[in-house]
Amino acid sequence: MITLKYIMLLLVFATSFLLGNLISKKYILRVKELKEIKNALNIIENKIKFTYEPLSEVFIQTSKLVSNNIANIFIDATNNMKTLGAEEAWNRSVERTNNNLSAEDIENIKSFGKLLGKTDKEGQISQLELTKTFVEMQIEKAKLEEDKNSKMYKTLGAVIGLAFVIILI
Amino acid sequence: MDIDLLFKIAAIGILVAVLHQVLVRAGREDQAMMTTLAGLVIVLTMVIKEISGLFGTVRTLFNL
Amino acid sequence: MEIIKIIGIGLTSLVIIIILKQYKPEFTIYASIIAGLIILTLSLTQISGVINLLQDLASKANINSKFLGIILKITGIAILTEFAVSICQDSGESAIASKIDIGGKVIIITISLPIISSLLETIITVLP
Repeated sequence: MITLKYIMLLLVFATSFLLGNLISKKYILRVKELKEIKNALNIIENKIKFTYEPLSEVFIQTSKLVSNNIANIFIDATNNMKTLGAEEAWNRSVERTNNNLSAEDIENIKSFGKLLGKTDKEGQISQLELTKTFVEMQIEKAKLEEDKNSKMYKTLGAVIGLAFVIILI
Repeated sequence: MDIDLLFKIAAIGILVAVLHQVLVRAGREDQAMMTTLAGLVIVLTMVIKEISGLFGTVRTLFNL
Repeated sequence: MEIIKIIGIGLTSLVIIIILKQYKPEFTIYASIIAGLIILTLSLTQISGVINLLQDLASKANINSKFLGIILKITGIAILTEFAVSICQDSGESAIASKIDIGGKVIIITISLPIISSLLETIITVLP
């Protein structure tokens, strides 16, 4: 009976600790993913500037160069592009993906699709630049939030778990 | 009725102090105050139980 | 060795209270209350033997058991009031402490009224 009690207390502590870590991880991952998106936008910009491949080809090649969560957006967008226009396809795949970005980030990323496949090269590149500055701003914001919150949630999880265990002992 | 309770109160006090520090550092003063209050209430409930126990023993002992 | 236990608890609680005072002074009062409770309970368990002995002696010496009961009651009230008063004084509320003190004294006097009246009666019968 006593051992069961201690095992339960350990579980309570572990759950709280992991929960804190999970929430703090979210902030770290958000910065990482935003950086990945900036990276991907750079790659796409270069490809649009210097090669004449179709957009779906560019997307697939980009998806191979960035990490998993973000690559899924591009793969999904290429699939969507078979049936929809480029803007619609991009918006849908950005909304559908599973990631740690905030709603504000997603709105900014969506702006990339606005002129996609509609104007000439120059127009698209300037739109891309705009999106990139947006994303950079979001990265700054996300970094500030990470500094503020990620460590706090980590400590909070551990300390609250400890407090529960001490109260329940 | 054990010395354990004393250690428990000390531990809760120190943990609440740590929580307070962390929350204040993150700029959440109001939540920090709430945690302090919650800690105080928890300790108070534990202490009240013990006080009523003491009063009971004194009553039975001196048949008040 | 109850005395070692009591001294140990007292010193441990002292250390705990000093540590707590740096971080959260609000919690020191609880720690001191609990320390007082533990020590008091330890000494109260010892006192029950003394009470039994007193009752035994009183029944042997043919003292009215009502009086002994009153004396014991007064002792209990004194201990409880002393406990509350010292806690109040510790946290700097000497006004409330003195009120509790007055309350304890008044109740002790009202409880001991039968003894006082019987004493007066005895004096009156002794006096010519």
